[in-house]
Amino acid sequence: MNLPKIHESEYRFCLILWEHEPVTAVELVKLCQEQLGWKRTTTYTVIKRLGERGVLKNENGTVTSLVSKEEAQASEIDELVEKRFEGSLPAFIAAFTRHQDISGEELAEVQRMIDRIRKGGPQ
Amino acid sequence: MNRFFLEVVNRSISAGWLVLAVLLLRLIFKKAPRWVNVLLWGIVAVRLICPFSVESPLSLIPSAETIPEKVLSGPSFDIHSGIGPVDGWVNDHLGDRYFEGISVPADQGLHVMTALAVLWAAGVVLLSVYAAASYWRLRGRVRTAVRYRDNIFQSENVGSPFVLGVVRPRIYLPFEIDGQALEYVVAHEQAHIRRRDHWWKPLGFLLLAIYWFNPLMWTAYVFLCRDIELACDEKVIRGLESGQRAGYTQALLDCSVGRRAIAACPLAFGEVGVRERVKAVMNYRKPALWIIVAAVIVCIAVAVGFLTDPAAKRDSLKWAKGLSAGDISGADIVLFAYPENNFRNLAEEELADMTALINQSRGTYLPEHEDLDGWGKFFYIRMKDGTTHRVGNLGNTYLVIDEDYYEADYHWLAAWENDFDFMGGNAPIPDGYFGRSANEKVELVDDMSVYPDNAENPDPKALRPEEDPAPKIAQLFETIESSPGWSSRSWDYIKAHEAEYQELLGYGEDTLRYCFSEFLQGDQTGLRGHLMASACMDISAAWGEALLVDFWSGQDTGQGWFNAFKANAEELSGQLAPEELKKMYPASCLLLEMVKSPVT
Repeated sequence: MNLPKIHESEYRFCLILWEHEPVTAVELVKLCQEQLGWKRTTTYTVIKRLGERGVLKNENGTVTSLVSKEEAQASEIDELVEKRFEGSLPAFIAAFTRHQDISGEELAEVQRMIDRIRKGGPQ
Repeated sequence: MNRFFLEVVNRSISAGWLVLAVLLLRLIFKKAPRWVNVLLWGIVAVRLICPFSVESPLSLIPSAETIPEKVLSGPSFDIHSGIGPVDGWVNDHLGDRYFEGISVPADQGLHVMTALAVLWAAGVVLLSVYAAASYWRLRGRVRTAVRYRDNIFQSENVGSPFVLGVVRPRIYLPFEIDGQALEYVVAHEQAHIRRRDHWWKPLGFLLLAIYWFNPLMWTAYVFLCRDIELACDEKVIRGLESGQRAGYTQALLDCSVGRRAIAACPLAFGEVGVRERVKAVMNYRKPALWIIVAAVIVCIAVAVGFLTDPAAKRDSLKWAKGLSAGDISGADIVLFAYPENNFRNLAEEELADMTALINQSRGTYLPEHEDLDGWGKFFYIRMKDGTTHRVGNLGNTYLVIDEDYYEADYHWLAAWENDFDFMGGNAPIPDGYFGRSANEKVELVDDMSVYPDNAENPDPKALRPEEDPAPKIAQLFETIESSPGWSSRSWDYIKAHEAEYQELLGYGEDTLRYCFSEFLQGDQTGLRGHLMASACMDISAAWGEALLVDFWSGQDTGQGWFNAFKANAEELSGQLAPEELKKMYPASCLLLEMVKSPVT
């Protein structure tokens, strides 16, 4: 997937955006100050930069994201699987299950997801 | 600005001695806690910042004014580094080669200093700009850092942890560090803040920017940074149990792998010398109390020894060095233990030369001195403020200023003859000069502690009996001609009778008149002719005559020399106005007067 790159600190910003959008820039400044410790100018700069990269759009002071959290997360996974697991998703899953304890509930949810993909429908 | 720059240079040299001492102490006191080292560097900073200092005999600094202000005004370049051999070697080497107006261009010292001062200022500006630029660049990089907690931030642009900010310091960490390692790193950076390192390091760099030309300052800064890190490690370790040390060193190592260009910034903390720090952490033992006490005592000793300046020169030496010809109303030369003609009143023009000679005074004060059975040549100086001083050369061994005896450089003392045109006398000491009657005068000559009467010293020329000096002069010439006899070079005869020759020269105008009148009568083709020609040349030169023509060329005899000299004088009188003639060719002028109105 060709998603624009999001750096770590920008990702933290996006988390705030995803949680509160649509949100005014002014409100964003306040939230970033509280949670990230950013100055107002910093927040505005980041909004501008991400806007240029196509991650969000800023219309008349209201900011909405163009890339959803799921898309961003998926992009990260893609990159990780590509780099660390030579593109093999099963290898990634195998490594994952080896280290993590998966509850019965989580297993059921994963099963449902696999069924849906097989049927070719939306996730 | 020149004077300020000179002071900066001198201060950096003084501080340089201190830096060397601290480096030495660092080596010796490896077992001492590191905060002692940082304290020592603090003393260096004090030395560099304080514009004034206390004088004390306990000072360990060789000299507080290694390059004296005199180099700005010239004409000679002396250094007073406080180290005898170095001073001697440099000053001897420069003594003949550097004399402004003669062997080097006039005002050379001033121009060179100005150029260097400008260069220094440029360096200061450059370094300051570099520091400011680095700081702003770093600030820009960590703008998007997100707060972790309190004043701790994380950013993807941070390679290894550091503290930034002087007033409200913040700790910046890379995202990659977490868990226990993060806690150790935070502890380390917080220790930096508690120790106020975020003030000391910028201060150190500021001083470095000012004293950048001294390589010892760079050394000091590098070691300061190292010691700050080590002291910080120690502070953290003190609060940990020994089992945690491994974890701490692991965190250290992990951080150093991700180093980037940020470490070049002078205001951030790179991880400096990781290997040394790991070793130090693993081997750390709480220092014994006695070591701490000893270290503190050493610090106090260093402070006393190096924050104070060496004791000031004695007043008499200070006076001599600062003497200015404009403050002198008159001066005489008095020669002790000389047979006759042991007195001379100095001409106005000679005062400047005498002052220049006296300004060069230097030496070690001797509270006790040996009684010398030798000769002495003294200047007795009457100041415009009414006081009298004396400066003398005792047997080329002692420099005497007023009542103080100094051990001075033999070469300099012996060179008084060269540096001052005529150190001889041309008359006996006038009656009543030392405030005593005539019969006591004879013993006076060996009594060194006398001073002339403060009363107006009359012009000795007026006191001299109105006797015709011509027979005396003739007598002197005869004495000189009397030996060695086997030579035909006049030079050998003069060498054999230096004192008599000097006396001849001392008579000055009288000798010239005598010689000229002898030459005018003609036929001076023998040794006498040569001797007289020599004397005429020397006296003319002393008078300031511009001897541009070699009157000896093509001549074998004194008479020949004189004829050429006279012909030249006559030519000059046609070319120049009388005042100019008198100013530039006084001897020729005298001859022309004699020719015009001959005196029998």
